[in-house]
Amino acid sequence: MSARPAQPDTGWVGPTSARRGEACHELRLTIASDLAELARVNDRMTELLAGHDFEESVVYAAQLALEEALSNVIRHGFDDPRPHEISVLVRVERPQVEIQVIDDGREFDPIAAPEPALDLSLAQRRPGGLGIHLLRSFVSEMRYERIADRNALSMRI
Amino acid sequence: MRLKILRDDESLTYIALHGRLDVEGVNEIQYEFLQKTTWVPKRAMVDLDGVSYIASLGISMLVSAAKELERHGFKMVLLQPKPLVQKTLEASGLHHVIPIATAEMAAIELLR
Repeated sequence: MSARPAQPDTGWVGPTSARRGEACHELRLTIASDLAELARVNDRMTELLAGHDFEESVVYAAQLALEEALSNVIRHGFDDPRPHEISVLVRVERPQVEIQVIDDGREFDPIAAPEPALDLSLAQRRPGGLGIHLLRSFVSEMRYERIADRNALSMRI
Repeated sequence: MRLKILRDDESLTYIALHGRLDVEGVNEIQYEFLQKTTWVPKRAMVDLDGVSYIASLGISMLVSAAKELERHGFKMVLLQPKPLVQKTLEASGLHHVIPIATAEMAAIELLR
């Protein structure tokens, strides 16, 4: 996983930590509905997971699940151009990682989304449709709720 | 994300990608990648050995290039993806439509 130059944080809630020197177990963030935020979210999550000695496959799956979930919300979840806030929670509960994404976009249950046709020829393939499928392929559990006009998606790796 | 041209002659475009094919990585190289592989259509080989991560947007970039090349009667082959990248490609069904080779010679054979 490549490192990016340190950026000043603006309006981000940092990881919680019980005592100095202990590994953090949780990361809570509120981000804008902007694809440019994905890199920072990924960096912060990767930093959290690095303190817990997860296998590369777990870190990869967590990065993919988070990227696809956020990308889907940001690109397809809103009907208006105004900025929205998305809440992200990453919690380490060894041996698993739990990721939760909460947004106020239009109602969308990724668990119920139809599977894309993966046996199409190149000529038949259209852009899109793979993100949710990849997310489902790499997580072990998913839970979706619609609560007070918000989508709450929880994933475990 | 970096793109390096390893060979670009009348019969083959051979490109190596290095880094993460996430949203940011695709934004960085997509235009150049599509330009190098499709503006003058010919056989294409894409070395993924240096790619540590790929998400759906990265897969869409590869599909777009391969589709355009196929329209002109040419193939694309992907070379030496790392295990987790290979797993992602296979989860997307991409290996059914873009061949994946583990060695350069095998890739060249697949392009015949």
